[in-house]
Amino acid sequence: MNFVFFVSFFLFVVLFDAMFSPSLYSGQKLPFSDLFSGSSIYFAVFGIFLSNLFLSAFAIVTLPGFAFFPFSTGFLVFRSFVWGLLFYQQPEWVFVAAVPTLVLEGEAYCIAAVCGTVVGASWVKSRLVFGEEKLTRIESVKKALKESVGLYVWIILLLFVAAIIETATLVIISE
Amino acid sequence: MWSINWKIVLLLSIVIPICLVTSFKLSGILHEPMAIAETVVLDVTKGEFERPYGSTLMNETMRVLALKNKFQQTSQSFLPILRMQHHLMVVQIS
Repeated sequence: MNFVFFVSFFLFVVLFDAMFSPSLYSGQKLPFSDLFSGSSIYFAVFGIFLSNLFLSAFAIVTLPGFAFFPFSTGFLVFRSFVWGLLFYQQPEWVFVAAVPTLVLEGEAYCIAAVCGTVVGASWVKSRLVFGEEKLTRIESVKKALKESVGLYVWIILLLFVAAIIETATLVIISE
Repeated sequence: MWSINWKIVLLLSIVIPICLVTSFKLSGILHEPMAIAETVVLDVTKGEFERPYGSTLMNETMRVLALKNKFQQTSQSFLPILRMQHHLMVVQIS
C-alpha cells in the first residue's frame, strides 16, 4: 500500500507538471494566521483530525473496501491523484513545509486501506487473508475486524500528530 | 537465502518517492508557479459574434477572440461555461 500510494503520488505530481502549464502565484498571504489564533487553534487541530479520521480515512478509504476489497486501494490511488493535483502547483517552500504532513497522513491512509482490504477480502475468501486457518466466513470477518481495530489505533495516532503538524504548517506559511 | 526485511521495504517505499519528488521540486525539474510581477490594465476591447448553439466553453471562445485582437491572454484566466440567452452576444475584455 505504501508503495502504491507514494509512488503514484510521485507519478501524478510529475505527470501534472508535464501536462499543465505552471500556475500563477500572486504571493498573497493566506488568511490562516488570523483564523487559527488563540483558542481556535485547538478547534482547527481537532477539526482537521476528525475530518481526516472519519471522512478521509474511514468513509472514503476503509469503508468501500468492506463492500469490495480492491475499492480501498482504488480510493487510495484517487487520494494520491488529488494530492498530486494540489501539490504540483505549490511553490517549493510550501511543498517542503507540507512534506511531514504528507508522509504522516499518507501513511495513515495506507493503513486505512489495509484495514478495508483485509476485512473486504476476509468475507470473500478466508484463505486470502488467513491462509490455511480453518475459519468460517463469520469467524474470518470477526478476526479481520479485530485486527482492523488494532490498526486503527495507529491511524488515530498518526492522524492526530499529522493534524498538529498541519495546523502549525498552515500558521507558519501564512505568516 | 533471500530474506526480505519488510520494515526496510516499507521505509524505502515512503522515503524514495518523497525524496525524489522533493529533489525534483528543489532542483527545478518540476516547475515553480509563475510569480505575478506586475498587473497591467489593457485597453477595453469589444467583440461581437452570433450566439452559438447550446452551451459554449467561454474560455476557448475568449482565447480565439484574444488572438484575433492580437493581445495576449494568459492560459490561467477562466470563465465558466455559460448558456447564452441572447441571439447576439457582446463580450468586453478589459
